[in-house]
Amino acid sequence: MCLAQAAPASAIESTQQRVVKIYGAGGTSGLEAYQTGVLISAEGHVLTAWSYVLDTDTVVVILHDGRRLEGTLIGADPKLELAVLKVDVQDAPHFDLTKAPPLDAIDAGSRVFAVSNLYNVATGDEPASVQRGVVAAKASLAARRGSYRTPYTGNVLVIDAVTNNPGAAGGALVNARGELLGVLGKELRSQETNAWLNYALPASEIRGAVAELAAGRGPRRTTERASQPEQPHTLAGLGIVLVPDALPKTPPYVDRVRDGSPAAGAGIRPDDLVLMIDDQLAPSCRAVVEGLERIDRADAVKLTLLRGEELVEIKLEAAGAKP
Amino acid sequence: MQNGECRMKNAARFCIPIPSLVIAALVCLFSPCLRVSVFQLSAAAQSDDFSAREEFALRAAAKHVAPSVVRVETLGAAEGDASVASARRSSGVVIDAAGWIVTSTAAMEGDPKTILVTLADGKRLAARRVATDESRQVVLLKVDSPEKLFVPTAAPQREIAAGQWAIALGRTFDGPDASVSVGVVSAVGRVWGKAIQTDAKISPHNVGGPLVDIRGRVLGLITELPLDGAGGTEGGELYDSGIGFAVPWEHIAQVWRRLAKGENLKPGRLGIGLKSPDLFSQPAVIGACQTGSPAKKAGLKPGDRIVAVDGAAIERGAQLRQALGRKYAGDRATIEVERDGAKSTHEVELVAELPAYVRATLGVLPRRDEMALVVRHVLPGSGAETAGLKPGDKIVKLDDKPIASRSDAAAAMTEKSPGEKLSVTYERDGASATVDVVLGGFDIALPGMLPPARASLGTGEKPSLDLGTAPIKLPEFAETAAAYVPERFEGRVPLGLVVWTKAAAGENEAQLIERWKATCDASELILLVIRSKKQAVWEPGEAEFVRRAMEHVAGKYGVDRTRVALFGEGADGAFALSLAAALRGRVTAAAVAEAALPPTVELSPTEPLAPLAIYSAHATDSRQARRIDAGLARWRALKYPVTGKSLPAGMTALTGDDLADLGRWLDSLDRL
Repeated sequence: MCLAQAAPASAIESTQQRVVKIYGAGGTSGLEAYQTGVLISAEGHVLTAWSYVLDTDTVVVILHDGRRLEGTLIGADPKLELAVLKVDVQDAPHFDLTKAPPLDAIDAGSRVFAVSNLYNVATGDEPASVQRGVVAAKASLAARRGSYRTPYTGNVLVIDAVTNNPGAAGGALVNARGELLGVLGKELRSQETNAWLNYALPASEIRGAVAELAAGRGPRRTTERASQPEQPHTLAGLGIVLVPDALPKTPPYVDRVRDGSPAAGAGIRPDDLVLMIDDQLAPSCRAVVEGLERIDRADAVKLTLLRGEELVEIKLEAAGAKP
Repeated sequence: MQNGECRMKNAARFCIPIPSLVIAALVCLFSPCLRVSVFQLSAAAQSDDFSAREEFALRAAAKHVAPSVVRVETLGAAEGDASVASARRSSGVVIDAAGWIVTSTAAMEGDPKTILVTLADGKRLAARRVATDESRQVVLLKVDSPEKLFVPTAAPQREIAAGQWAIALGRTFDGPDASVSVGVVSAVGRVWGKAIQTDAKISPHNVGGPLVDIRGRVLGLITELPLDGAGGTEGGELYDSGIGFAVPWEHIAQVWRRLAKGENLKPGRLGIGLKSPDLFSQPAVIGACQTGSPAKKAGLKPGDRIVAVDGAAIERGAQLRQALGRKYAGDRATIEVERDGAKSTHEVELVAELPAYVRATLGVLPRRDEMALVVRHVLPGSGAETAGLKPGDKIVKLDDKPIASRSDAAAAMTEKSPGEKLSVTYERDGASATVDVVLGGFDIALPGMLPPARASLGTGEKPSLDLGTAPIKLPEFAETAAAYVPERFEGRVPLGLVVWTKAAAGENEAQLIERWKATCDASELILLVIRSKKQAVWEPGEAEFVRRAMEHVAGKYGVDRTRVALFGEGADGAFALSLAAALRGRVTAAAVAEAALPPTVELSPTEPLAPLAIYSAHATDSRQARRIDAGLARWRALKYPVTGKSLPAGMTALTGDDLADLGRWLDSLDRL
């Protein structure tokens, strides 16, 4: 009987009505010509992933009931890898991003459903496919630098289900009540482990940027700093001299500390082993230098050191110290 | 199903809220047309309610155990393979409040110099590695924590059943929560009795973390156990596949104190090889007992059929492996065998390592056109030569065992070591005689020429098989291969098989076959050339095609199983060596030129029933000399027979006389 339902039929049905199938450029040597999108306004704004599929003059958008519409690209954000299309429709069932549950209302273990046109299984009149899973974790992809090749540095919802398949990007991630939690991201593979990541961009976090795209105002230029600061920290500026970088991956032991430097003042000693720069593991001398290059001199930097068998955490400020 | 779950499911079915029941009843009485929709509404409300409660229970279980889940980060691990990062994240679980933590050996790959543990509250501590359980792939770490750590409760192992909820937790993402993956227990007692199987998504995100039941108790520790239990990193291929394994927490709770004392636990070995490689349909009949093994000391012999272990009946090889697979070195077992109709019981104490098995030989090459063991050639410098054996002699007894065939002799030899004396009874010109032969090792120097292995060079009848060059194609694979079968082959006397694994660049199949034709004809070999898909590199997944193509050709032409070799030059040779290590038993030799054994390939100890011999050639001025020698030293340390050969300066491939020399080595793989 209906006790076997994992979610109310109405929640799934309403979600499927708001998910569209998108067809465009591609279709050769491993590149698909299809992906998924979600309706975010009654007049036909469609939120989807920014990808090569949209790289064409005519993007075809097919609704859940088979209605075939032409989509026009009105805005794209390369950093979020999101785009907004416009189709000509009225009173379309849609998700209201302003009502999306905030990130801290979503816990690991919460039941979720992903609705997408993975592998282009849905063609023509059919609604997109539904998959079931739970939220595995909330994580920041940028925290593990080099782990994932993506420009997106915000938080994602990691999903315990195999959702990020060919064609699924742009699909809807909803809870059992049919509320939009996120938009399925593009296929991403960990550089370390080679494992695929199943994830969605949280609806509440991308809300503002999407509104700008929908209004045709292009990606919002935030006051974010460039990825490489103009005046970063240096070992010399902090007063740290590491052992000579002789091996391909020399362990970053401190050789000596300059008198009167910020490092000396903070209590760093020779033979300390630098383990982390701002909570990023630094397994070699080169990694320490690269880690410091990403931090502006005006900011404090946290070093985690191994002294014998003990972990020591030290916050360093270079401001005011002249090399 | 667990009691807790039965209660919950029953509750959902019967505890229908009273008000909605009353309203439903009233509406049903007065408006029949509304009946269906009301039932749908209340059913939907119930399912919503039940789903929500189930979700709540799962999240609560995860939250309850999360404080015991830690993050394990390692630094300074050796990088044998470029794709392994030098900083690695894994999960771990607290097993004792004083700061003892268990994790998977996957976290400790490459023997890292620094281990950091991050507790659930964010505190970071240095950790030291205390000991390893190699059988279960579990590592014990110790941290100095000022406060007592939270220890989770174990789910009673006896109650764990397939179908119950199983939640995999990990702590590899940043943030205060443990990551969650929900599935069920798929089976218990897997991987030869050692593990719980689950379909929760096991991946680098949660390896080393706990597998938890819906009541917040730990079922087991998630590990990377490979399916055949042979060790190595095959387990990593199972990520996101629907199969994952966890070692029962109750078991870890029983053994961790031994680990805490610094004792490494190893799998226990008995020291027997089974007669039939088919574990699943054949009885457990002993094929060989290794010298110095617990089996030999307990008096077990080849031919004995094992019928019970520790009182439990054994009907097939797989059951024997299941019974012994979970035992550690130092554990005892009671083995009951049947020999010549009579049963006997033997007590054994399993060991961590068996004395290395060293192949012993008389020094004769057998004729291949006879069922019995008839000498084709006596190798110079061998015990057989000293004892006066000659070509044409028919060996009928070794020690006191009658020998009716070459395989009888091979089986008898597995019990012997080089240096031992073997009494050989042979027939020559109608008379029989007995001599004592001092056995030698496998790599005796070869002569320049070998006599043919059979009396006549073919009877003229052609078999209905493809001879000469023929393409090989298997239905499920896109790769192709080509084989060369000597034209003289009449289907009676089995040929040997050389499988040449060649990366795409360079000579094509026809050119390679041209190079080898004369050697194949002279040394009675089929050459199977397999090309990789990509230029200059083999992918691990392609090993399957190599194995299948090899089996296909071996089956089609009735190849002699004692003479199956892999061959490669340069990088292809490195691939051939790693494949040979993995396919020991199916492949009896690996011959390479200018190739070194990759340092990451694990070598298993030698086994009498799965022999593997190595032939390695390199130029005197080879830049790889040091690496090649280091690889050969590894084989020799484990007592594999290794034949080394020097090539003229600048040579990186085998041609002419050098190739003919290899041909003769391959021709003598069936030596006894």
